[in-house]
Amino acid sequence: MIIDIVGGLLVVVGSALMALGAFGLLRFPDVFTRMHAATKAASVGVIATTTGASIEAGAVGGALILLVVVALLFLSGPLGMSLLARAAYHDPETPRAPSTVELAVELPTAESTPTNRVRGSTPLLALWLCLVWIAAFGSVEPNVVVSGVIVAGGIAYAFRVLAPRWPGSLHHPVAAWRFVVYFIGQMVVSTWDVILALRLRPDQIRPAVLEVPLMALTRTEVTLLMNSLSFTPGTVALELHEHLLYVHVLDAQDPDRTIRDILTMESKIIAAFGGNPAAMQAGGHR
Amino acid sequence: MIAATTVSGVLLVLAALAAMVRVVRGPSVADRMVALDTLLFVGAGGLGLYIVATGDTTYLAVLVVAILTAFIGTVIVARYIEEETKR
Repeated sequence: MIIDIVGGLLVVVGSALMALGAFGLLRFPDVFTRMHAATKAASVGVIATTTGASIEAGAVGGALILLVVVALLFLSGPLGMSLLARAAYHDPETPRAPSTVELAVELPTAESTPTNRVRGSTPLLALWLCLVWIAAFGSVEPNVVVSGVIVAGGIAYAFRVLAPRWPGSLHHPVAAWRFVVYFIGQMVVSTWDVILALRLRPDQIRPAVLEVPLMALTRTEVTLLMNSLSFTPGTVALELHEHLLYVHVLDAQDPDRTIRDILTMESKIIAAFGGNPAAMQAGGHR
Repeated sequence: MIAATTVSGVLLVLAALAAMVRVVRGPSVADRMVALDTLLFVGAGGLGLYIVATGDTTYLAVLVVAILTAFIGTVIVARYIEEETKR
């Protein structure tokens, strides 16, 4: 009975978020602002709906599915949105809201940076694929787990070149938890901000492109920061050039405060996943 | 419970309609892609609603797969826009 009530409540909240996001799709003036409203409000909505649905699948299966869905949304959603935003930003034919404030003087042209391929961790990839497999079946029966290990191991071995790197070492578990809590709080606050922006007339919104100087040192930290920013409704990472991060902000009535928020998030990420404390004290850039 | 699922259903249909309008009206490719992404999420929301309404968890896997593949289209279209701009 209580499960039904909680599930129903979550589904209603999720649907309401999606409806609000889709309304923003109609109301906001250009593709970047629509991106903030629609896709990201919708992905928060999907998390709510999936939570409701996975309750029905029982404790273990439900929790696993929820974990996989949230991880997938966090890993892939911002990637797609950042790429799309960057492509649209470099395309001169993309219509732009006339009220957009350009605080960045000139966005550097897109150029592919050479990547030095580092052999990733195949066991990590296998573990992740195995989790996806189990979540897809929604059960932890022995035959599911065993077949998952076989399939995931085979795929991970065949595609070992593409295996992800373990994201640094986790020296500061307390700081990591603090970051997770802070991030969830930011998600709630900024989703609410996007909903509030829906009542503004299209010409009242002040979208902005902000130039944020970063002090993040390692790739892990920069990637995590860009992902977190793009996942949060209201901000999307456009481009990274040297140590300057370009961020599109939905409603920058107070740009200084937004930049401060971004830097706060950066410092929390560094505190949690800072790979090289010695280099940080030296104050060098990467 | 029936009230909750009805309200959710109506909200999801409204969201899908709004997204469809944006797909048709554009004006840019990126706009349409953002709208299609939203549409996919609304579809996933509909699956979640079905699961909660009926208690039948068969389609939970479909939900996972839908979200698993959601970003691929976005990435491809982003690449396409980038190539078009270069030309």
